[in-house]
Amino acid sequence: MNNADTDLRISSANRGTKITLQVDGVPCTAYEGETVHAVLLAKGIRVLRIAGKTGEPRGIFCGMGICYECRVTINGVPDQLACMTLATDGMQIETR
Amino acid sequence: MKQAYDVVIVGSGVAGIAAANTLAGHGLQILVIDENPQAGGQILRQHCRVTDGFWEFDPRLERSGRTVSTQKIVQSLRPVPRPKGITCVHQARVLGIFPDRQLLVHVPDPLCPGSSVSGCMMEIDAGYLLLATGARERFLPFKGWTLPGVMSLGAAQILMKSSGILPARHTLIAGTSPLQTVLALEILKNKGNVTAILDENHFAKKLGLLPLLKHHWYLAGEGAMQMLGLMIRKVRFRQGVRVTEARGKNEVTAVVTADLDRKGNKIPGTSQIYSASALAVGHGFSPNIELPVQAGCALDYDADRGGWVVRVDHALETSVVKVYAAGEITGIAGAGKSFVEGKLAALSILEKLGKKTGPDRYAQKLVRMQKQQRGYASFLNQLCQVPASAYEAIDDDVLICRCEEISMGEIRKQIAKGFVTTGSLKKATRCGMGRCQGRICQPVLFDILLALTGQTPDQTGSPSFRAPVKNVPMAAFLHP
Ligand SMILES: Cc1cc2nc3c(=O)[nH]c(=O)nc-3n(C[C@H](O)[C@H](O)[C@H](O)COP(=O)(O)OP(=O)(O)OC[C@H]3O[C@@H](n4cnc5c(N)ncnc54)[C@H](O)[C@@H]3O)c2cc1C
Ligand code: FES
Repeated sequence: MNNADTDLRISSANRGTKITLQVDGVPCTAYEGETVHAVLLAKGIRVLRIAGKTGEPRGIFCGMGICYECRVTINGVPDQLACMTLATDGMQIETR
Repeated sequence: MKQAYDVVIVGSGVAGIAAANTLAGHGLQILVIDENPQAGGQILRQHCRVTDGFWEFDPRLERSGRTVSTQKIVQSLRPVPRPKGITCVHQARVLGIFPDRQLLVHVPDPLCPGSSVSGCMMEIDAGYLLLATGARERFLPFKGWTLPGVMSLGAAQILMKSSGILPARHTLIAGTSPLQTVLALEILKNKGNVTAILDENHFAKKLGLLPLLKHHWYLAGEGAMQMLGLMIRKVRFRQGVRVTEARGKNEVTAVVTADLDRKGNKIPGTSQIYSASALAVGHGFSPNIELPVQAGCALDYDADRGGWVVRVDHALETSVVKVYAAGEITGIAGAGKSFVEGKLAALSILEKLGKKTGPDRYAQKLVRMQKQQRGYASFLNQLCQVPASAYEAIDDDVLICRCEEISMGEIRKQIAKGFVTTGSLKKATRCGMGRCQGRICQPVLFDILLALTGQTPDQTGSPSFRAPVKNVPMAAFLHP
């Protein structure tokens, strides 16, 4: 478990059942009820994609389905909003 | 797939839930649609963890006929078995509203017959339609606001509330929004660190706005208590300071600020640098008007209500017959107004359907509460408002449209060429034509136009939106 993983989860929060998913091919522990963007952040992954023209890194911004900055590929479907999708067991997430 | 309902409610925030509660029990078929995985909208999200039931507010909440605080609204929410006739669909996006209240909705794959990972389309006929699509945050762009680690105040709140995850170990908070202090306290409660709060508003501005809280003195009290809480926790709190740049290679690592004079202009030579792993920033709220605009609902411009808002009559009916609007989309004023308007809109629909129950006194009480919210709306929106000079001062290399990557320099150039209306500037620059369809940059662009041209809002022109108002995978259209 990397440092960010233990750090950012709030110790007093109620958590759902433990689940395992794959982020860019690497297995990752998460909990039911967490959104994909939160799982990625807890894992220390903040760069979710690269902007086309300027080549700038981008990550979550609005956290509520408005800005479309948090697009990732989920279970093979591209351009899914990480902030609006709940993490599920066995989910495959690809960033960049 | 095609279905019909007596009443369709878009949005299950405070307004949508209050409306559904009021409509239940009259033998109507009601559909509540929300794009979030669970009900609750912006403030009830952690109180509405996915259940099979529904929620209602304690009916004693409006008994006094006085404005209700957000805290009371949140506390009075309770889970109930789903009332007969109410159907909820989540993670579903309303993409368009067509003549005679026909809705095109994108629904997630578990609800699609056959299997399609991209979900599918559903057509819904609504006898009456209530739009309660809420609000989002607005921003004053600065250099580096696109760096990962820079996020909205709400995004930081949502991470903690919905997923129990801190935005970062150390978070810097900035902007003009009252959410700054709410967020700081939430971070501290969850054992995170707040590097500092950098409030753009001077204390004098806040003091000057206090008389607007005539019916809401408890809010001034709440604000004072919050400040006291932050002082006790020794959080660094600076007023009259603006973030001018976020720095970092792949992620934000430092934030540059400048002090502001009383008019909100940067004072040369006052820059300071803070190290930060996250910056949460926001400059107030903007109503989610895309869907009502696409449906043909007329708008009004009122800076004291958050900009372009949906025009409604006393019954909360929009300019489109049998289409009603409630909550933040008719004017930003927080949870109390959304609660009251959700109930009032539902009562209006019940009356039209010949199902009016209860005494007029009840509706009158709600109308009184609705009126009291106006002062608070002015307070909130004026507090958040950034002076025109701040838009004029945006540097040319700052990105305004994050999706299409269009800079202030390009916008200045096109405005100078004479593209001075919302519509023409959008076409000339492609600003607002990206994935988010202008949800982030359109209110900014509008304020830039007002500041740079000196035109009135009406001369500048209201925004226009076409279906689909939200992006969905193409594959979903192919799946019947
Ligand atoms: C980030 C943020 C944080 C806030 N925090 C506070 C706070 O701490 N305290 C406070 O008093 N107020 C807060 N507010 C103000 C808040 O807007 C009101 O308090 C209140 O929640 C508004 O209720 P509503 O029902 O009008 O809208 P909302 O609660 O915003 O609900 C609208 C719902 O409509 C849904 N929706 C919108 N468009 C579509 C579509 N096309 N298809 C399907 N569903 C759709 C959204 O998913 C959302 O769930 C906050 C606002 C924001 C934006
Ligand atoms: S972070 Fe804005 S849409 Fe997900």
